[in-house]
Amino acid sequence: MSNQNVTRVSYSASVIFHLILLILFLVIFIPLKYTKDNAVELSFGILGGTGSSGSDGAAFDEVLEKSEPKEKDITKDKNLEVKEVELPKAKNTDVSDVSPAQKDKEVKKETVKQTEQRESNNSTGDKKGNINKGTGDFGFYFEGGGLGTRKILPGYPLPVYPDGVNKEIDIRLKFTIKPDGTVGSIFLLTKADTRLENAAINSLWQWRFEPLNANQVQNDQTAVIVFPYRLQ
Amino acid sequence: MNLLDIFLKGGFIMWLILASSIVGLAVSIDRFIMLRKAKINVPAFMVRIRGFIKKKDISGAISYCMQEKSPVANIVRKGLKKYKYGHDRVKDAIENAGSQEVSKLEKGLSVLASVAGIAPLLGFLGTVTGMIQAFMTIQDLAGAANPSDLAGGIWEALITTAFGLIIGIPALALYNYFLSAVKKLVGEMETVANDVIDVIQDGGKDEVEIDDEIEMEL
Repeated sequence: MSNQNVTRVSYSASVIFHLILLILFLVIFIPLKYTKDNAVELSFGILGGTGSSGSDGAAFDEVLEKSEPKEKDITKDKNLEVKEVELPKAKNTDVSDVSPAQKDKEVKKETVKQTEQRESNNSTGDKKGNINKGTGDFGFYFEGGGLGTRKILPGYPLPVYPDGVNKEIDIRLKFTIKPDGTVGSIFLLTKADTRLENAAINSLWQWRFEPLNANQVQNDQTAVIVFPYRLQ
Repeated sequence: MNLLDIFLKGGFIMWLILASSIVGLAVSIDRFIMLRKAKINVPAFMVRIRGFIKKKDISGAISYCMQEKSPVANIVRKGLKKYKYGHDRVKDAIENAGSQEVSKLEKGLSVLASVAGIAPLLGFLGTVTGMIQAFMTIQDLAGAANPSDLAGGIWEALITTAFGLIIGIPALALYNYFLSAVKKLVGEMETVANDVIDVIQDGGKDEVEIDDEIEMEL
């Protein structure tokens, strides 16, 4: 085989190899997009964050996305005007089964909270400021366990307002999500009426989250959820 | 999303990277075949050649070299063709042939080195342009870009770098491999050339010595 022939054969082989490779590319499937099957996505410090990397420190923040975030309720620290960052809108997923509240006397208003105060005050101990108490917000924030998102699987029950209670309060529960997606332990952060607490805890127990992928660190993730009980 | 979709998301730069990959692979195959052909058993070759030269069977040595068809055999053949013109001419012929063979062996290696360097750079270019686009989108959305807008633009931009590196890293490894293989072959060629020249020189001396002995006997 002469040198020219060798070159010709080499180029042909190379082209054929690349064509085969492109065909293989058609077959190899990479699941980049997850199916959004009627589930709510929880974010660990990404959605609803400030959009600036590194400023958050250990304070991984909320968000539960639901319905339309019609109005962004932004709590700004007025002492620090430098932090006037226009926050990105939280991503929404369409959730049709969210509001049993319409049947019962439950909360309907579910907006995404953008808690920016955290940004100006990095101390994690001041987390209570992140939740606007008494405004009827239904939100999450996460205290640790790494970044990422955990989806709540469909069919999660929201607590029903128990009969005979006449109280408006935000119940704050701290809970852990196990790698398999089940709820681990629940701690009560706000004391309220026992019946309200029980209703919140019982419904939260039934929640199931998306399991962690096998290639993720199999740690429990801690989250804080607020169930705002409102009278109608 | 399959890999082809991801590939296409990279945009125009991806096609340039693909082209560089095709060229790189072609050169690699070409060099691989050439180096395989160039490899011979040097000690065995030298034993045969020495035998031919000592028997003064230069035409036999040349035909043996033609059978071998390797660069080492080529330079020896070209040197032996000048056998009748003396030792110096043989040496010159071998040196000339040697430089020719080396340039033949190194042919295309510069292309492979270029591919190894250019493919990642093309990838970076794609990433930079992609990033520019992503940030322009964010500006267009007047800060209302949600995280998926940000992430979308950025991962698409990073694809080109990934593919550029996927092409560049093996290309660099192959370039170094071929370079060392050529170096080794050049070393063998030098050894053989020196050996042949020495044998030819020794052959000449033997003649002289034998002649002297004959004269003394006489």
